[in-house]
Amino acid sequence: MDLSISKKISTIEKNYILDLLSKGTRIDGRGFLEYREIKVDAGPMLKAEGSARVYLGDTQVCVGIKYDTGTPFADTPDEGVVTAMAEFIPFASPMFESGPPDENAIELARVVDRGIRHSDLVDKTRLVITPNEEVFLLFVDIYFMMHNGNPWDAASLAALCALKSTMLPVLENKEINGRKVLVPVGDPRPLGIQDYPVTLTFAKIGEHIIVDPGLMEELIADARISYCINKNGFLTSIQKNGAGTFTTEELIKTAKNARDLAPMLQQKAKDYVRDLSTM
Amino acid sequence: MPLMPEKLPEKIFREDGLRLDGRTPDQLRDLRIEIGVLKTADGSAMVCHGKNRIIAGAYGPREVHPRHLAQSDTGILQVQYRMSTFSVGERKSPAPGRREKEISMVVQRALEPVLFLEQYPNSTIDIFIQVMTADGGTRCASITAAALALADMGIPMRDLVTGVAVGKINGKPILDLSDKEDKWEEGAADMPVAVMMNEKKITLLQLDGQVSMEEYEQMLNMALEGAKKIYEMQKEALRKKYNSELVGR
Repeated sequence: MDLSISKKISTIEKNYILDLLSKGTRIDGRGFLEYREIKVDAGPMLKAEGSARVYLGDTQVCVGIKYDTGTPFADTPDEGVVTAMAEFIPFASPMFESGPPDENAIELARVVDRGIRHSDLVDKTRLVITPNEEVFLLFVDIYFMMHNGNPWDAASLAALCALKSTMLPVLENKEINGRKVLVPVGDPRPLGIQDYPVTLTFAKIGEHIIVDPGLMEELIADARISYCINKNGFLTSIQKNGAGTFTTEELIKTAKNARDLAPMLQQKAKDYVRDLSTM
Repeated sequence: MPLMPEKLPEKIFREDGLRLDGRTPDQLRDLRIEIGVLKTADGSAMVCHGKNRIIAGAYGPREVHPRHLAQSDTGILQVQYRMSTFSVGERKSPAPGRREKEISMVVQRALEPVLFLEQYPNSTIDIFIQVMTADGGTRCASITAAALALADMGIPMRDLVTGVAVGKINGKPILDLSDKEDKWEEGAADMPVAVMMNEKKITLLQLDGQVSMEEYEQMLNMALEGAKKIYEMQKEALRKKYNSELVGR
């Protein structure tokens, strides 16, 4: 498939996609509720504390986890901090330009962030070094390597896998040469995760609703909705975008579809083990 | 409270005279090259050099953005070198720093001589370099990768460009400094070199540290010897991709 398409999709192409949808099929031959092939590996992030690279068809995203230490927020003195950042590298698509993260990258990071935050993915009380004083700040940094549609599902799966593989040092307060520093003692320990939240995105094109939109589908979609589903099948966050609208029936149907498809994505994360030996 | 900084080794050479990673002074680290790693870019390459993991993607010739940079008599080359936040020990801020901007510029200057930019007036060739893991010598490995991304794009080139670093530690010249060797300060110097191997033309040269004239000459020769080996691997990687594509047809 030619990935070097511009922001504008011609009317002929749009009509072609709509025509196919009305016949019950999609441009790449998938069913309406069918994901592209998903592969997960450790990626070339050798110096990250945890990492994962997710391929969703020809969409590729790399996530690396780093930590810093700092003071906790005043309202949560016994919790560490987890934040997500997303960047679209310009080589990921001819549509991307260099520069600081734009509104799309920021929205994406926030969708992933809320998926993490509103499930019990990370037990933040385990990120405390000294209560009230010193906690781990975890950075979930998302880099888009190839953009061929549906960055949201790829990024949140990669973030989940990367967090699952994260190892953190055990830090202790020590005084060295009259200066207080945090010193790692012993071997790093797994961060450990408690939930498997995954994001599932649907696009509405005309009257049709499809899961995991490819780039062309994404670009002509009237509206889009992303559901984050946790291991119990609960919704933990929703994000609607695009100028179009959904009916309440459509919202209930897609949410149930998301719940039914979620275990397939969660299994990818459950099976994931970070292996850097081939990277 | 600050984290304790990473400890440097006490010695940079082993008892047997070899380097910490077991290399001889004029030995390169392991090098692996892959062409066409990004389906979205017009040309791409990944270079795994030591623990460096660097991906370069190229586009063009295409319309210039922003427009005012366009030149009516020639095309331009734009290079963006960026380090991922997780590419180094302590997380790097995602905002590009002075170092990244300077490296983007020197890499651009190192690559321009092989291109026929005058053939593409009002157009740009864009190269984006992303360091996924940094392990010393990233600007050299970036040049090696970027030249291959250009070649993979299929535009005419005078030659490839090959990057390699040489240095000096405790007064001893060494080839292809590792991250630890790069950070060593005693009697140390670091000299990144990029070369168009066919005509042995130098397209990038920088130096940090003090060297005598004799050492300078010695280091330049060592760099050329190293670059020759990398150049062969660059050509081999291109052949591997394009031979198999031709056979496939």
